Amino acid sequence: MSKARKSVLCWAALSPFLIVVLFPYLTMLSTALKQKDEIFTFHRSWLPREFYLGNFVELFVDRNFGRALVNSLTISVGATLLSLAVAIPAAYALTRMRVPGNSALTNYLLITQMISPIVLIIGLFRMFAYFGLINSLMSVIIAHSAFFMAFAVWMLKSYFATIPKDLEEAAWIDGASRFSAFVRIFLPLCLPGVVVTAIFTFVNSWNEYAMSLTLLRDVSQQTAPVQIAFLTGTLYQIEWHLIMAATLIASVPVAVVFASIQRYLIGGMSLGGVK
Amino acid sequence: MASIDLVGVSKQFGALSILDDVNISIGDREFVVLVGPSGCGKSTLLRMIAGLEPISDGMIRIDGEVVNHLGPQKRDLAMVFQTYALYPHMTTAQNIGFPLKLRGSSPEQIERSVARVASTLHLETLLDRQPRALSGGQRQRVAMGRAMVREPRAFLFDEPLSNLDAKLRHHMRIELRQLHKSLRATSIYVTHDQIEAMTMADRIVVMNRGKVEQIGTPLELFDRPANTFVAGFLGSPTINFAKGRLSAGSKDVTFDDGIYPLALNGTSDIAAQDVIAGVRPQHIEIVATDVAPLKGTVMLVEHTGCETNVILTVGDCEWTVQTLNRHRLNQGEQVGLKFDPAHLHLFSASSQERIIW
Repeated sequence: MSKARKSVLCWAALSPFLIVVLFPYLTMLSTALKQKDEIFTFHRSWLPREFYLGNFVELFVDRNFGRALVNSLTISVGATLLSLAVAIPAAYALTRMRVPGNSALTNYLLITQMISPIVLIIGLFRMFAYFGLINSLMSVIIAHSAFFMAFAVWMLKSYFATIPKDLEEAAWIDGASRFSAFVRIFLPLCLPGVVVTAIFTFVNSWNEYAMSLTLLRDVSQQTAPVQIAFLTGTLYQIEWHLIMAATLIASVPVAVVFASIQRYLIGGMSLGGVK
Repeated sequence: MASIDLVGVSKQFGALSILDDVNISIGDREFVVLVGPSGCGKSTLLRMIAGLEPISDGMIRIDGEVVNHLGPQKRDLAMVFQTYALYPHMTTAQNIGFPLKLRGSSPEQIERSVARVASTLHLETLLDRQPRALSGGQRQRVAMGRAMVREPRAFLFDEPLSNLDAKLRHHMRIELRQLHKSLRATSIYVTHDQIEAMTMADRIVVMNRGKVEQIGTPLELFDRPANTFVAGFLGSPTINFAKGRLSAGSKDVTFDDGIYPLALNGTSDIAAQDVIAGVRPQHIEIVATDVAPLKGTVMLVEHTGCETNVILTVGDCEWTVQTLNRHRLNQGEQVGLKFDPAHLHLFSASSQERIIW
């Protein structure tokens, strides 16, 4: 079979999935660009009557969605940085050093992933209330880091294990301290793994709803997913045009994050170093 | 450059003993090869010298200074790994210059040193390439360059040629040897390849199961192996062994496997005992059956081009004879075998140690 034909067949086989992925996005885009009276009509059209940006204006000016985005961004970036700051050394220690109870600890991390955050939410609320952190973005940053850290450690650990130990040992013999070898040799090689982990943590934190809803009581502190959920729950109507505009905007940072760091995802960085 | 002394060095992993009471003294500017089968502890020993592996017992001295508790950073040794361990995200020049950068040398100084090493190793045109764009032999040379650039007290090599093809290996063997001659650097070289050991070493240390079996120059070890292990390990094809009994005063050997008795010019006062006799394939001649003290039946003839290996049954043993003559022999044919008794190695059957030096 020729390469072109194979590729056409592969695309044909994948196209149903493409529809599944694209349909919600197109609906979102189409609805976000329509005026309120255009949404529920007998003759549905994908294209809006005119290219209408009023929904976005209303969202940012009247509903203060910009603040929700900033809150979400602060929390997601904060949670990503905090969980990486802890997970990278933890994963390094678990792969490279003799840690007593290494396997028990690793399994324990996995078990924490089996508990739904919602089960712990009352406990979390009481704890943060005790420390006076309710209505503080910091509380959500800490909670998110704690929840997503176990996954980050697991993911980094499996990536770190693929980096040949010879490289660090060579650096030590060349005169590098353990820390210097870690920073100059080990981390650059782990960058793809760190980036993937960062993306996962960021996306998880960005989309998280229950904890943000519980810990941030003030409207001014709401995150984007929480504010979108509130848009569905207004008293007399569901404002689909605003919801769709908001979800469209909310999906942009994730897409930007993916696009901007995808070059790091290309593996094979360590290719050629050994053998 | 430096001398390295290992005094009673041992290594245990829990109850498992990896190295047991290793004593080796390596002189300044000497090229010592540690050789032995896989798992004999030679690489572990090298890693212990490098400081990558803690030692359980004993002492490692470099230039008289005990370095047991010094980290690999502080021993001032350079090591070339089996896997080369080049930093994949750095170019050739950055790889070679890395040790100098860590020492805080100036960029100009680093550039000068890298250029000097690169010209010695013929790497001038490859300085901007990353390891992935280099061939096996080139990577090997970059790894060498990184070791050479800071003029360490000694070089450690951990099977550096084992990932190269046979031709390149032979070439690199010569290059390494020439490099050692010009640098006059103390070197410890680990390999499982006896040809590498024989051709490169000033002295060879043969190791087996965590113990040193024998230390000596290549020819000493080949001509006077201390025990059956060393005799069997060095030399290709492998030495031929036969069980037998040595008469009192070492006058003759009677073999168990139906081989004719062999007269020896016994001069020593060694008591009669069971022995293992060994003779190298290169020391046996194929002659007419009527003039030969030994007879064998041809099983297989291998022509390698230069030499011919004849595999025969002698009594109940399987022996190999290596000869430069291209004998036309048929399977099942009887041939006579002859060798100078001076080439016979006799080992005690109980201790496996050599009994006549």
